[in-house]
Amino acid sequence: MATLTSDIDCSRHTTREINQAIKLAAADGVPEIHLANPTARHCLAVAVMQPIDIVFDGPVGWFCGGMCDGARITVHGNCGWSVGENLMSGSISVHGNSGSSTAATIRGGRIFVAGDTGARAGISMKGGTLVVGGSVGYMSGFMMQRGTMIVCGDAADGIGDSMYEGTVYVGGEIASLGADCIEAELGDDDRELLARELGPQGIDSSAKDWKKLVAGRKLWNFSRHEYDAWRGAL
Amino acid sequence: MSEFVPRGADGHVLQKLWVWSPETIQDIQTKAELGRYTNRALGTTRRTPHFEDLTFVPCTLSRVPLEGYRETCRTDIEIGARHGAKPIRLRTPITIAGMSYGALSRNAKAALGTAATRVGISTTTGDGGMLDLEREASDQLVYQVLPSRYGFNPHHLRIANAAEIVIGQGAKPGTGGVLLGAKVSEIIAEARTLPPGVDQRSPCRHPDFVGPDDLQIKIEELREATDGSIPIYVKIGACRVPDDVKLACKAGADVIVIDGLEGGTGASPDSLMDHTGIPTLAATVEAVAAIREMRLEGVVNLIVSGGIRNGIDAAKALALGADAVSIGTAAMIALNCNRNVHVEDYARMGTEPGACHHCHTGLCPVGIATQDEDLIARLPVPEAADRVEGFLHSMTQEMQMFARACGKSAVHDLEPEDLRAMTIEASAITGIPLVGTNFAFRPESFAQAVVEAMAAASTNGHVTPHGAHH
Repeated sequence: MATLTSDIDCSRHTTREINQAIKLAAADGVPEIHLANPTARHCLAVAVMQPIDIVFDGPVGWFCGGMCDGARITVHGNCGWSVGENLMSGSISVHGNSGSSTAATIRGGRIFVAGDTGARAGISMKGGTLVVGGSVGYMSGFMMQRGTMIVCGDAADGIGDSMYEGTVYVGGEIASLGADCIEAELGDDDRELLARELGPQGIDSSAKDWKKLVAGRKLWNFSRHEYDAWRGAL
Repeated sequence: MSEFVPRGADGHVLQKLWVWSPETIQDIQTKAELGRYTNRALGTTRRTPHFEDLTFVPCTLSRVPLEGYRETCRTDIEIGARHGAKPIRLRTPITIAGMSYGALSRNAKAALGTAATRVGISTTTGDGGMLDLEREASDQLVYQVLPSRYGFNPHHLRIANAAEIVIGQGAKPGTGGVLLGAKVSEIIAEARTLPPGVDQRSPCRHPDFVGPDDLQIKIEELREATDGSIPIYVKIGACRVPDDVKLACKAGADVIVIDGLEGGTGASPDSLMDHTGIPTLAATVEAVAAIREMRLEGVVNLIVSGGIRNGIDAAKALALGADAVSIGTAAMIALNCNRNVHVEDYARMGTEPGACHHCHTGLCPVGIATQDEDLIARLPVPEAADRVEGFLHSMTQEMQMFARACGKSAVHDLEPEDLRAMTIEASAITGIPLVGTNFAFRPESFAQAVVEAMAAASTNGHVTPHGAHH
């Protein structure tokens, strides 16, 4: 078991030791913990259920911050797949790029990726907010249920495919919309939301030509009169 | 002349066409009306190679049975200890399969949990997450991690006794679930973060991992989330069983659940239920062989499910090498599914008791597969739990009965030698000799027979395979 300190050298501990040290620190009310040499290791800071600031000085692997509820995580480096999957609350800031399935199924909290993400960012989001400073890959926002995804750069093919609800904002180019994803009118409320979310990240929201994407709701219930929509979905 | 031959008005025999049978004609006309495939619940309409096609050969003169009503016959087993987690302790080798709160009513889930606890076995959550009532009722609750993650809550994961990553379902492998709008009530919609009344189509792929190498990392994540304290199951719809089982073993599964094509579902396109996957019998044999090939027999536990109807099927599955069986549909039927009551409500759906597979409509007349409060009230939890408990006891007794008759003091001592195949097909699938032949219809058996025949011919001075005379 790692000694309870506010600094951990990951290279000297197993993943279990690191995670248990983080959880112990959070339980003891340690305000902030720094982790050096994460060297893209998987499953770091998983299911931390209490507030604490966790800072990784370097790249992390898959599932970093997965299932957390209240922790605030900062990664100074790139992330592997599925950063923050099923996040309940709290925040994750990635100062680099992230892999596919970024913010998969998050229910609350906020994930910020300064760079680009791989495919399927925001897949099956059930709440919360994902902000991507760069571009997102193929089929991002797939089967989104609730929440907000803001993409400052470009969106690859199939953005918002089969969304149930939720909102996607894209500041750059959209390669193509996914099945039943439609563009909606951008209102003042949307502009205020974008300014509120992007301002703290140092991004000027007014400098972009935003597109707002929502569910067309043709896939909510089957209709034999909507063959075209269903052919794409099925 | 038989009066059962269908005849036309003028007395001529009516000839039905095999390709264009009345069922096929109805199927086409229904689809033409709906404009889509048809959905159904429960399971396949096909007669598959099944445990039914095996028979036990108990002790007679050559072997000595145990006294049926006197001698001890153990049924308990611990599963999931491969990586040091607290194992699931089954007092009898049965588990209640994952069925969602949403497809099932809260009373049904509570009754299943109550019965499982009384009998000393585990029950399983489903799509839609963990119901508080279910957690309270179940001493040992397996928490499913499904592709949809509807209702998934890490706090619930941490109070579960095991986690089960669902890769697929025997009734519809390779596809996601369906919950038609009629069952997506306000409560269910909120639990699944969906708009009420939508036709909910669950994804088939997990949102955060894809292949077997990824699965290994996902398992690691679940272990980290639970501090390694609970076993991790991987549930697979039976298709390429040898490959899938080996990959799950390598990925670190503690328990593998193989769900054959006879497996149940709350709603699915019926074409999938009838035309995908392989039968549980075949899947059991292949899974046991795969685990053995990995040299993980007794280390990775195997649960088989899909069409297990009673203790007889369960005993045969154990004899083939499974550690436990899982029941879903049978447990629902024990709850009261298809009971001959409220017949008028069955009729309203165009069906009748004994032939109802209309779970997907949400109009279940006996309060199991519904979210309608009036219908749910027809399933009081205590009585429903009593029925399931009784059925589970009967399954245990049946397993013990066959084990004792075969001279075994534990149901897990049943073995393939205790069985014979009733059909060539079952023999070919299981490698168990066909009744009356002492011959298993497997490729290796034929090869051996050829070698033996040639050896006999050689001894008699006939030509050997190499052409030399003796």
